[in-house]
Order: sequence, then structure tokens, then C-alpha cells
Amino acid sequence: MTDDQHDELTRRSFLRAGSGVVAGAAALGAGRYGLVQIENAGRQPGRAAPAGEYAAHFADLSLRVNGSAHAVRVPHHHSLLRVLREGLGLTGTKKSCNLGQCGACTVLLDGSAVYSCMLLALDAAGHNIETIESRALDVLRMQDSFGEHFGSQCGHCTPGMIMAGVGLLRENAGATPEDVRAALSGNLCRCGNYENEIAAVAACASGGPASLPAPAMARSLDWEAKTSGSAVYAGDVGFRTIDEVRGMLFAKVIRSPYALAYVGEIDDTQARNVPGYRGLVSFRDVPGYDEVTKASERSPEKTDRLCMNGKARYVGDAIAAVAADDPDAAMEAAQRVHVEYRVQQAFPDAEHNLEHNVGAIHAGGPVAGFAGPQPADKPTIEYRRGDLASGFRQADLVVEGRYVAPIQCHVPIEPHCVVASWHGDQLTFYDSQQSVFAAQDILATALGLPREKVRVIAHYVGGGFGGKCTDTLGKSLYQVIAALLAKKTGRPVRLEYTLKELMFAEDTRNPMTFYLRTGVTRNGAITALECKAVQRTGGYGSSGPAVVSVAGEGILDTYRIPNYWYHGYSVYTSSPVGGEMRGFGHPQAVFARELHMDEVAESIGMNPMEFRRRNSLHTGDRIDTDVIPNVALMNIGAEECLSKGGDAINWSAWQPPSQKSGRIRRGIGMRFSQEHTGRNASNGLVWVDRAGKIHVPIGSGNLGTNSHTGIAAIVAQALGVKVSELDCTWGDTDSATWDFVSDASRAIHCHGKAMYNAALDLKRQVEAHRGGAPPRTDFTPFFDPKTDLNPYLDETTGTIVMHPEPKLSPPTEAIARRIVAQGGLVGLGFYVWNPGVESWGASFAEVEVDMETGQVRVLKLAAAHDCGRVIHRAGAEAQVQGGGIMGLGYATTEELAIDPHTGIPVNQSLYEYRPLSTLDLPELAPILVEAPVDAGPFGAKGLGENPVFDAAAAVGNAIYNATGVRMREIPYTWPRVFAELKKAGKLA
Amino acid sequence: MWNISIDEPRPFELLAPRTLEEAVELGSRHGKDAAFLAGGCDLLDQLKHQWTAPHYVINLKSIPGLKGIRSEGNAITIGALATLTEVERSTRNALPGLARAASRVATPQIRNTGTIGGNLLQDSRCPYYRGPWYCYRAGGIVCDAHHGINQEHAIFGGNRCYTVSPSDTAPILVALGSEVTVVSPAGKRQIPIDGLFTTPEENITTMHRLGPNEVLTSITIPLRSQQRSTFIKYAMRNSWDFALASAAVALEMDGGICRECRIVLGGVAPAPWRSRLAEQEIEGKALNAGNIESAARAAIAGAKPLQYNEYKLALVKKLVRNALLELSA
Ligand SMILES: Cc1cc2nc3c(=O)[nH]c(=O)nc-3n(C[C@H](O)[C@H](O)[C@H](O)COP(=O)(O)OP(=O)(O)OC[C@H]3O[C@@H](n4cnc5c(N)ncnc54)[C@H](O)[C@@H]3O)c2cc1C
Ligand code: SF4
Ligand code: FES
Ligand code: FES
Repeated sequence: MTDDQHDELTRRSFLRAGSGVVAGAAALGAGRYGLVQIENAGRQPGRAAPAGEYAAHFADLSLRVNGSAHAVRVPHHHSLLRVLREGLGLTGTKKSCNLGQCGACTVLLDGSAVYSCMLLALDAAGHNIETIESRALDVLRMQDSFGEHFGSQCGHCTPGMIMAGVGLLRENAGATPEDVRAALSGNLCRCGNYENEIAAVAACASGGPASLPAPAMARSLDWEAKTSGSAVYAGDVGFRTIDEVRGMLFAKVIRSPYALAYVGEIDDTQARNVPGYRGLVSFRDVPGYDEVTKASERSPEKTDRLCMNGKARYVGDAIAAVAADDPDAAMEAAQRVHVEYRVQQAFPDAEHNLEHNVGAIHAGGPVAGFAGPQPADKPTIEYRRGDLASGFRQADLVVEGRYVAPIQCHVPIEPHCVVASWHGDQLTFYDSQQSVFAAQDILATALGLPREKVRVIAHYVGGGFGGKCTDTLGKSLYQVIAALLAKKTGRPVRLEYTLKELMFAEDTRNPMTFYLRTGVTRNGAITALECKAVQRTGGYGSSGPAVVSVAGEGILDTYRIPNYWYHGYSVYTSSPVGGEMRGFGHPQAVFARELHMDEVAESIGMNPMEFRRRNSLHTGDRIDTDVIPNVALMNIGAEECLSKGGDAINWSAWQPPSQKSGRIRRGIGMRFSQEHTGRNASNGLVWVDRAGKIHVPIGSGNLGTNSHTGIAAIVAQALGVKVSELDCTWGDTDSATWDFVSDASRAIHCHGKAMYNAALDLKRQVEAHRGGAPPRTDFTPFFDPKTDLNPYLDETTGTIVMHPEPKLSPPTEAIARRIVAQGGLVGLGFYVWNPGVESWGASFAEVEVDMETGQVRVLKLAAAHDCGRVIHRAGAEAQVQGGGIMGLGYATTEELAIDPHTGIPVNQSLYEYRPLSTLDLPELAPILVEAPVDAGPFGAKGLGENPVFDAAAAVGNAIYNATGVRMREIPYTWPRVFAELKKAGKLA
Repeated sequence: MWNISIDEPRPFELLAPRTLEEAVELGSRHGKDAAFLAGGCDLLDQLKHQWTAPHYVINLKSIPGLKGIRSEGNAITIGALATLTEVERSTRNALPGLARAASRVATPQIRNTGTIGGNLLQDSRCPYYRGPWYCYRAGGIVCDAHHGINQEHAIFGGNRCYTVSPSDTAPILVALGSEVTVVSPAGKRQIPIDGLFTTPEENITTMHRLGPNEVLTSITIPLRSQQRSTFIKYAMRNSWDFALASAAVALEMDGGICRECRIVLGGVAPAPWRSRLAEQEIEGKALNAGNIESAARAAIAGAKPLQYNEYKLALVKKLVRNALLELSA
């Protein structure tokens, strides 16, 4: 074969993708990649195609679990994990990746830690199996130690962590903290709670510290459930004999293997031969399919996506779904459904799509706007202030740069799972859901049901990070698929994601490219800034337009910039959908702007810290944009963050890169920014029953942030009682207090304030009752008119509501009336977020770079965060640590890479995607700064998201400081850093 | 068949032979419709993706005698089914390089179940091959990695296929001059471990030379009193990560002169890559800084990087240098 022929051939890609039938042209990879022929090799020999008989082989065995023998009949191909969970109802052992890549399923086999997902149940027979449900003394002791050391954020990794820790101490009772770190290196914690987990295990070692210098109230509200394995996550529903859900079916989604394709025939003839197959729903069964599909092909339309679609717009787009009696049958049926695809040329490149006004993905144009697709010349969002041209004229120097941020995956340790169950016309979802009330609204709307007919339950959520917040119609709405199948089959239906679905069929963090241009005077004043942002939103808008807007705030809202123009484009691409993820546009924007600001400071020879101080906004400065009404910036702890964080990294020893030499070089770098903390309205409700028990039905989701622990503390403090005297509940639309959503770092500040107000109201109600007052008939909630009722952006209309009405949402008012009718006393609160509330932070990284190989090691990450008031120190520090680690992954390893020719994600596993493990952490120094605001409960602001911004820019600036090479694209992987050093001629 | 909603195997029948003969016979009878199961860390991953869906899985764990680790005279013999944890613990003193390699595989849990035999015989981890692409290795007529994302691919020995040998224990076992024992229908044979691995030139669809009816039973490693050995692995994470590059070195010091030197690289070629050019720079010479540097440079001679993996050259240089420096100390 000649090279030319080889080249010719290598420009084609063949896929062995599903049992689909491909018709029509199949050219992919426009733009700079040239045309690539893609062909379906599904029928090629060499890889087994499902055909022929399908029948399980069974064995009768006795499994010895936690000391008792269980007689079970298991299929040969079932893992120990499945048998424990599905067969024995021992759901404390968690299923996550199911492929030996995360550790959630860790159990002990004859005392050694193993992944139960990678062990056949048959192979476990004859061995001693121990799970988190064990009552062995060392297991109980470890569980308690996890409680004491705040060992769980979301808790989904906790059972596996505990078993790995117990396994270590059985072999090595005197394990050191370093031994513990190594022993836990096979257990991922996406919440990044590693230091607490290590401390919890180390404390149980003989000779280990007896206990932490425990901050008061380290334990979270639900530590017992999370550490004992009794916490019920959505994926655990339906397997235990005590569950209310019975006889559920298992669903599997049929997803497009092509980045852009029209779907033709869907034929389940072959699937019908699978015993236990119960039926199929497809995009044709989705309510609203006709209108939306036609509309989006014709003109802008509010929803550009349904839960299943007749035109696949990214690899993994849902087309149809099947349900069957068990997961095996569902998978077999899914494999046998034939789908006809007409594959189209794919458009993976956002800049190409903008330049050529590509309408192939959505006919309305390449830009995702708030009202649907729009043409390329119309940005999704623009912010302007002053006169840009004259601003640039005033500048002595103008600095420009292009900055690129990748796709980050949420990969919470709990993959999304939902069980949908109908009782008559009443529909209940047991869901992995951050925001039960938003989900209730959205799911009811999508199904055309009244809101009251839908109930969403999510008591425990195994990490969300924005990926489990069903708050817009444009999200994947896998719950609707389950509901449609449940309706069709008359049975509850369970739909659980696989790791790959979790990674890229569900939303990801949007990749973004920023073009920044800043004018600056010689004495360091910014005169003008222009930023064009291009976001790959993937096949659908989802939260992309909102993210591109918030990224604009991220670019603009830290420094005093008299003249600016931000124009952001959320662009459709044939790639995974970008949605909301912890920080919502800020991580991308802060990375770009803070790298850029270092360059601006350098251009005028100013120390980067001094430059930031000089330009920072201050308390009292006014914010006024299209989306933020004219408000004054409330108390901010910016200066304290800068000085304390700077001290922690020894900033005074900062030296420019010209001072560095040698093969191994060290450098320090910083980042400085804010995020407004919260949005929208919250209700508060606290009540006391006739026996005097105080009930706190918390409205925030229990996704691992432990906001509920903080809110309980706020209520207890306001009432002057102990937290242990409160009956706290959460996560059920039937009984929880309405709250807008659980995202935007808003739980403690927004919902916490409303609950605080409710507690104050309850005190008054109790007094009035003592004074003989009749039961309340006025259900107006209590609030402080000076701080608690602020103009806000109504995200459904896009306009600012200047005079919000202090009124309870209907579900909360109904609950309040019911309580009063039953003789209880109820306190009601209200809060509408003030956009002048901002959490500020400064972070500092020290890195070491090998100039020969491009290997980067982050040695230290010091992060100072102003959270207003520390409500629960262990929880707050855990947020800073965990967010910091997630941000470090963003900075150094995590990127979902897309094959340029087929649009298919290449690194579809955790071991290739590389979230950080216990062995990959620098020294982490969380610093909490308190600049209280009157609006917050006891002065508290939000904190959950900001730590994610800590690393990327600080590490990038530190790398520059070490090497003298500006690297404007993350993550800073070894290959990338090597290539940059080489390009700059700086390789050693 | 690639389908991202699939994460459990198609039903199979688990066969439990009691003897090697029985296992080999089952392998012969079912051919490609069966797979041998050791620890399952790789096999179950493949079965759960349903890339392969054999009707039979032949459980090697039911055969007695394939596990232990024995010291016999001047050699250590490791049963193919010994777990990586067992290997690590029982070779720390005698073969520190091997212990280090075993300890760097994946995670504690995988080392507790994964076997050394399975580690040597694991399949390619090229994400294209393990994804939906119908590339050469999958039986097709293109290499998608060659013109795709190839940071982690081969710089040596690529030929249409550029996958790398993923095993961490293979390089050191080659460096130590190990032999493996294989049982097939024709009986038992012992071969140098180099003979276990294959290249794309020879057979592009597999990483090793064993047929479906051949079982690896043990690995024998000669012990030499003057020998020093080490293994270093570079991976972006310190756990759960396949090597971007690794180096195993074994040598003997004879009055300040280096003899019987073997330098073997992992993660950079489709099979463990013995760097004879590097060996030549120190064989029969003193292990001083100058010679070490020459060896490090020689180790990358002839390398052919792809679009995105040139950094591996630098990694290899550093690995060889650091491994030799460590042994010279
Ligand atoms: C998430 C993850 C990360 C990993 N990281 C690493 C890493 O960093 N470094 C590394 O080296 N490996 C790594 N691995 C691979 C894994 O550790 C090894 O594959 C493991 O040692 C395999 O052993 P096993 O016994 O589980 O093999 P199995 O999966 O049981 O077998 C592997 C293959 O070999 C065949 N086989 C096994 N034993 C025999 C025998 N005796 N005779 C004939 N055929 C046999 C099987 O049929 C199968 O095809 C990783 C794996 C996973 C899942
Ligand atoms: S490197 Fe080998 S395994 Fe990977 S795509 Fe190319 S041919 Fe396939
Ligand atoms: S579920 Fe078993 S390791 Fe992830
Ligand atoms: S607490 Fe570890 S994954 Fe959430």
C-alpha cells in the first residue's frame, strides 16, 4: 500500500455501532478536518452481534455475607454486586461505574478489599463476604469515625471507602496516614472529601490520633444513614422487601451512535423474542413531539430538545427506550432493536459553524439563543458599558489572548437513576435530583400534567454538581422516558445510567473559547475590555445560553472596568451537550480572565497581586447590567482573601520567570474573583406540633453539600434550641418547604435566610399562642423589608421583577394550612436574593514543572474564600477542599476528548478521564474569611461553587511563573505542557 | 457491539474445569466461543461492554495449583493465578523491581483480584479499539488513532496499529529474563517470556501468542545474586492509570562494571520494548553519569512519534536515566 492510499483509507472511519441500519450519505467532519467517510460496520464479523438464543444459566449457591449464609439462585454471569443488591436487597454497597473504575462497590472478600462489580457471584461462593451492613465491631467503629470526621459529603462513596479502610486495618492495624492514603487510592470521591476520609480511617488505626481537634458539630445531620449504608438513593429503590415500589421493570435507552442523523424506522421485532421484554417507546411517543420537531426545523422555538428525538444531534442522543423484567432482558432487547439512521455530515467545530452560519443541526441557525436557534450574526448575549473605542484610546497598552477550556464531566459517583411509578393519574418519581421542586414543575410540564399530580422524592443524592438539576425543559429529561414506559406497561419503571451515559449522554460542562482584549494604562488602570466568547453547547441548548451569559458576568464582575463589550455565542455543535455544572460558566470565564489579567499586569511590569488590588471592585460599588438591577455590592472580604491567601503561599517571595532556571522549576500563581451567591426566591417553614416537637422540612436538595446541616443549625440558633431537638426532613415535594432550586451556591444563603425568617416567625407565633391568640389565618410569610425583598431576574421571562410579592408558593401554603388545621403552629419565612451579595475568593498555587518532559506537579493550593459567616466549619472546609480538587482536575487532567472525525468521545472511562484520587493531591490549605452581609442568615453567603475556580488560573499562572511560557488552554496535561514548551523553544 | 447503555454481560455459562487438561480441552472444543477467566479485571470489562459475547467462560480459578509463589533453588516460580498483591508481597526482597511493578498496577482492589497471568495477557487499551471504531485491530482496514487522538500511543514498533502494551509487570519480567510455562493440547512447554507477546506485524488482532486452547500456568524468574533491578512508571495519576511510559531495568554489577543489562520499556510499543541500543551504552561499562546519559539518549533512537505523543520521547529518556541512576547508587 502506498502512503497515499493509506492516507486515503485513514480518512474513513468505520463504526461497529449497534444494530442500526445506515442509509444515505454519511459524510462527517466538515471544516478543517476534511471530509471523512463513515460507514457502519455493525454487521461485520469479528465482533459478536447479539443473535441466536438468549438464556441465563443458573447456579444454586450459598453465599456467606456478614456472617450468615444465604441460599441464592444466581445467573452465572451476575456479579457479586448485583447479587448483593438485587438478590439480597443489601443496597448499602453502591453501584457506580460497574467497571472497576471507582470503588463504590468495594466489599471485603476474606478480609481483603475487592470490587464486587468485577467479581462473579459464583466466584465469591465459599468465601467470607463483608459489606457495609456488617455489624462487626471494627466496621461499626469505622462508621462512627466517618461520622466524627465529616467523612461523607454526598455519601455515595462512603460504604466503599469504609470497607477499604476496614480492610487495611485488618491487615495493618498500625497503618500510618500515608498507608491510609494508599489504601483508599482505589476509591474515587467526586465530592473530593479525601482528607476527611483519610483522617477518619487513620483515627481508627492503633496509635492513630484519638480524634480530630473536632470542630463543634462536625457531624452532619444524616451521618448515620450515610455511614451505615441505610441511606436510600434513587438507585436503591425497589430492591428491598420494605420498599413501597414493587414489581418494577428495567429500562434501557437506545442512543444514537452518530453525531448527526435522521432516524427512520424503529423495529423491535427481534426484541420481542426476548423473554421478559415489555415494550418500547420512541421519540414518536413523546408529548409535543410533532410541534417541537416541526418548529425547530422551521423556526426558533423555546425547546430545542425532547427526552427522545427523531433527529440525533450528538453521539448518545436518546432515540427510543425499552423496558423489560430484568436488566439483562432490557439490554438484550435494546441490542436487538433495529434503528434506521440517515447519517448526516457532522459539525463538531463551533467556530466553523458560526463562520458558515450552519443550520444543519437546528434549522434556525447555529446560535443557541434563549428563545431557541438563531442565526450566526446574533449573539446569545451581549453586555455593554461605556464607550469601548474611547476606552481603548485611553489605554497605553492593549493585551490580547485566546483562552480555551475543555469539556468537563460531572461524573458524580452516583449515576442518575429514576424510578417512575403511576398510581392512577398520580405520578411519583424517585429520582437522583438536586432540586425536587424545579423537577416537579419541569416534569409535569413535559408530560402535560398539572404540577400537583407529580411527586418527586430524592432523600439522598450521590453528588450532583449541577448535573442533577432538572430546572429547564431543555435538559435530557430521562425521567420522562421512564414515565412514558411506566404508563405504557402499567408497571413502575427504573432507568439507571451506565458510566458512559453519565459521562456524555447527560450534560457536561460547556467547553468555551474566549477572545479577550484589554486596554490598560501604565499605572495599572483598566480602561476597556472586549470579550468574545464562543461556547460549544453541543446538539442542544440545555443551559448553554444561560451559561454563556453567566460566563460574561464572570469575565466582567471582578474589576472596575469603565468600558466593556461582552458578546457570547452559545453554538450548536455535533458533540455532547453542555449544561450546568458547579460554577455555571464561571470556571471557564475565571480561568480565561485571570490568565489574561496576569498578562495585562505583566505588560506594564506590575506585580500580579498589586494589579488585582488596584482594579478590584469594593464594597459599595454599584452593579447594574441587563440582568442585575442597580444594586450596591454588599460587604466583601476581597482584601482579606488576597492577604491571607498570599501569606499562605508566601507571595512576598514572588519572582518573575526571568529569575528561574534549571530543569525542574517552581513557580507560584494566583487567581482572584467573585461569584454572586444565589438567585431568585425561597420560602421558609418551621413548625411545632401539639406535642411540642419542632419540625424543619428543608427545601434544599441533599446532594452532598450538607446545606441541610447548616440550615438546621441556623434554625436551631434562631430558636435557641439544640439541633438534636429538631426533626429535620428534606427531599420530597409532598412535605418539604418550597425552594426555587438547589444550585448557584444558594442553599445556605437563600433558603437558609427564608428558614431563619420562618424560625423568627415561629417564635412570634408561639408567643401569640401562649397569649391566647387564635390559630393563624394570615399566611403571609415573615421577612425583613430592608434586606429580604429584592428585585430579581425572572428567568422565564428574562425581565427584572422590581417589586416581587412576598407570597408563599402554593405547595408551601397548602402545607402551612394543613399544619394549622391539625393544631400545629407554623412559622413562615420568605427571602428574595439580593444580587449585591457576592462571595469573593483568592487562590494561590505552587507548581513544579519538568522542563524536559512537561510533567507538572501541583505542590500546594491555598484558597481563601469569603463565605460571609461560617455556619458549619467542617462542611464549609469540605466544600473548599472538594471544590478545589474538582478544579484541580479541571486544571490538570480532566478533558472529555472528542474524536475529530466521528464526533465520538474517545476517553469514555474514568481511568482515561482521570478524576483525581487520594494519591494525586497537593497540600490543600482552605482559608475561610468572614465578611458578613445583613441579607444572609447570621451574615452567611454561599460557598459551594467558588472553590472550583481555585485551581485552573492559579496553576496556569504558576506554570508561567515557573517556565516563562503562557499556556492558554487547559487541562495542563503532560503532552500539552510538553508541546507548549517545545513551541516556545524552552525544552530542557 | 458498542452500545453505551450496556454494562452487563450477555448470559454465559461458567465452566469450572478441575484440571488443566480439562481446561485445555474445553478451550479446544469451544474455540472463540469461550474465554478463560482469571481475576476478571479485563475480561469482565470486555464482557460487560458486550464487545465479545462468548457462550462459555472457562474459570481457571477452579483448577488447583495455579496460584502459589515458590522459591526453588536459583529461581522463583509464580503461579499464573497469583494475585498482584501476592506477587508484590512475596517478591519485595528478592525482586524489588517486580514488587514495585506489581504495586503500581491500578488500585489495591484490582491488585487483590487481578492475577499476574491476566496482567500479562490483557488486551489492548486503545480507546478506539475499545470503542465503536472498526479499526485494524478490530478486524477493519484503518487505524483511527493514527489520525485521531494519539497522546497515549506507540512511539516504537507501530505498524498500521499503534497501540501500546498496557501491562506494568511485562517489562520487568522481560528484563529479568523470565520464562513462562504454557499448557496446550500438545502438552506443556516453557518459553522465554518475550515469546509470549506479539506485534501488529505478526498478528494485528491480538497482543499475545496464546491460542484459545492454551493456558499460561506459571512464570519462572531466575535469581542472580549480583542482580539489581528496578521499575519506574509515569502516569498522570498515581493510581488507576495505565503507564504513559515505564522502564524496567535489570543488571549485574561486577566490580563497578555493568553486565547482563536489560532495559525494557512499557507503554511505548505494542509489546514490551527492549532497548538494545540503550543497553549497549552501558553493557561492560561503568555506570557513571556520562554513560547513563548516553543510554538515556540511545533509548529514544529510532522512535517515530505520532502527532501528539512526542512527549513520550522525553519521558523515556528521563525514565531510563532515573532507573539507571537508582541502580548505580
Ligand atoms: C480500571 C483498571 C485499571 C487498570 N490499570 C492497570 C495498570 O495500571 N497497569 C496494569 O498493568 N494493568 C492495569 N489494569 C489491568 C488489570 O490490572 C490487569 O488486566 C489484571 O492484572 C488482569 O488480571 P486478571 O486476572 O484480572 O485478568 P483477566 O481479566 O481474568 O484476564 C485477562 C485476559 O487474559 C486471559 N487469561 C488470564 N489468565 C490466563 C491464563 N492463565 N492463561 C490463559 N489466558 C489467561 C483472559 O482470558 C483474558 O483474556 C487495569 C484494569 C482496570 C479495570
Ligand atoms: S492503534 Fe491499533 S487498536 Fe488503536 S485504533 Fe489504531 S489499529 Fe486500532
Ligand atoms: S462500581 Fe465497582 S468499581 Fe465502580
Ligand atoms: S462523598 Fe465521596 S463521592 Fe460524594
